[in-house]
Amino acid sequence: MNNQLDTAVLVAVLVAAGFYLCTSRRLLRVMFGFFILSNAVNLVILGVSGDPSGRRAPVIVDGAAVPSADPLPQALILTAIVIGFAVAAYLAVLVYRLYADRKVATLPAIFEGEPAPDSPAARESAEDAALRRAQREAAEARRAATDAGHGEGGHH
Amino acid sequence: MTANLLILPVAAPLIVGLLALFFPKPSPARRGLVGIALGGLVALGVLLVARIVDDGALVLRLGGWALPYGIVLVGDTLSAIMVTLSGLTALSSLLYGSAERTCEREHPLRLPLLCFLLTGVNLAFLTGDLFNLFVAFEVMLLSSYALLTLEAKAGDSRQAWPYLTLNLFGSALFIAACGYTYGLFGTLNMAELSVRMNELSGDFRLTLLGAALAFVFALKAGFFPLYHWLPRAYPILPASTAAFFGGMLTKVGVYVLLRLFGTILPHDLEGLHRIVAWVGAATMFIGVLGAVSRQRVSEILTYHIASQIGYMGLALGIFTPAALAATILFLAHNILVKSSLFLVGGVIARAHGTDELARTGGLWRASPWLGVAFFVLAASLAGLPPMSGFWGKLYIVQAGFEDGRWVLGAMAAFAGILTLMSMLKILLACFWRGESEAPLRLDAGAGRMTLVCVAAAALSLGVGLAAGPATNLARHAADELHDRAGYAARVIGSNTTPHEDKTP
Repeated sequence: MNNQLDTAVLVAVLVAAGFYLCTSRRLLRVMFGFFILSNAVNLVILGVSGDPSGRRAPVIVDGAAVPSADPLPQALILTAIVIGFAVAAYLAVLVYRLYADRKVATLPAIFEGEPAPDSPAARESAEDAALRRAQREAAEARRAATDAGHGEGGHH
Repeated sequence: MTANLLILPVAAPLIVGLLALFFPKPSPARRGLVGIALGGLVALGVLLVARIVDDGALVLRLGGWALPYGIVLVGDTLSAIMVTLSGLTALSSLLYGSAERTCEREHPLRLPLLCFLLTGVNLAFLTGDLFNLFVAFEVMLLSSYALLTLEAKAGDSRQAWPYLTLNLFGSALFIAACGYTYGLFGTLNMAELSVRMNELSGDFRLTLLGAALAFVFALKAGFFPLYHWLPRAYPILPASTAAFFGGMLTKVGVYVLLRLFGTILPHDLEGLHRIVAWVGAATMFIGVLGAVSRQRVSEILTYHIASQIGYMGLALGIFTPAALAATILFLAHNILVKSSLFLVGGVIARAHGTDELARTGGLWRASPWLGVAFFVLAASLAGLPPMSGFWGKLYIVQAGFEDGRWVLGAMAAFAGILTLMSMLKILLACFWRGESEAPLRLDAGAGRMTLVCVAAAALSLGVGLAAGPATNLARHAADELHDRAGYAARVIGSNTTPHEDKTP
């Protein structure tokens, strides 16, 4: 296995699985597809660091030069994992928000009945929505403040 | 010592953004802090351009690590120009956003996210390392995902889905391409790559790698046929944010394509250049046809982004030094003009409560200064002399004809006419028509917003009138970009620069 055929096969299987899931209509499957895909490409980087058998961890002990694994791809993977995690978090939240907006979680249902550009729904500007949200939040904050005042007498 | 300044365009927005997170309540002081930082960045950018034009590219090895091990920041003329423009676009976005809404109505996360977005954009311009470029892109994209859905109304957040999925796919391919690059060349430093790629010149693996990377950045820049996320995503943004997105984000992809083909890849990949040129031409046409067919200001402007990206791809693909200079000039012009047009579009939408062309009108009488600003910007986008857009397009068409690419040159000229047509559509419907169907209401906020638009238009007009110096600067940047050996020597040579060895 010194050609790292195993890694290559694993990457191929993961990429295939990831792509298959990404072509799904269900948002959750697409999400999992991207999770798998991002792990597959991390493995690609691990693969290029070369055959690890017979090598030690890249830590220099007593200044002796011993064959060690290439540390750079490991650093790259670590970075990619962290970034992938952040993106995954965003993706999960977006999927949830899309579901919360329409109570459906498949792509055709979400993009079906797209409001025409000149429909009343499209006219409502984002700013109005923001204003209403702000008003609602302010009202809630007031209510919360009064509740707290009635309850146990302002603890700030 | 000057090289240390290169970290500021990356570090300053990051620090300011974090500070703004610590003080989450929007206030004039918070806006002022961000504004001062952005103004400082613009000034720093101008300083860097002047310095780099005189003394050559600056190289900063982060943490003092020797070259193959550490990350370098490289500031050449093109990077410095782009850093200046990104600061300028962010500043105008901030000013316009402040004029648009009072502090109570500002979303507390908007300014921090804008700062983080700027961090990523500037890092992408300055980095000299392929993997660091990936990190920069991800910082930028994550902030942009968040900004895209931050103030979107309930039915609109779905428009972020195509943007997100396509970019996730692009990022995965980017990581894989980084892995293959490291496997082939044993380094991810752009300067070392450009040296080692010479040894592999003519090998199909190099072409394949170049094609993969070009595909990634073409995707992120919004090239045909993978541009459909663009007209979906951008119109759901508030105008001030849309100005930064429309002006800057897709142009980062174009910048990296310039860097990739000019500095990193060998120059003999003619097949790839030809593909980029024709894909660019297709993008240019599809984009401008989309713009002509739309009936809302924000949608017309968004389709024009795709069209203008196409122009840049076309000029980049011609790949003569003159064509590269034309690309850079056009890129700089387009960042200014496109972001300003989004600002004008925001005033139009605010005055009418809508930006549908069927319901707008009467703005020329109500707000002549806005009309003048729009006219200047639209003429510039369409490429009428003596505006800045004219020179960019003229040089692109000229470079095409000089290189014997008659069809491409003619297409570029013809697309300019269609651009003019769609801009005239806005001019007639919003400004020329006597009265509007929607009630026209201009308040004090709209007046302040108009002021920002007029300032931006004046700046664009200034670039057009100072076409001589601007062209010279673009030529200098293009020559530097085209000089692969010089770039590599400069970066690798920084390993032995004496200044830090003098430390006691």
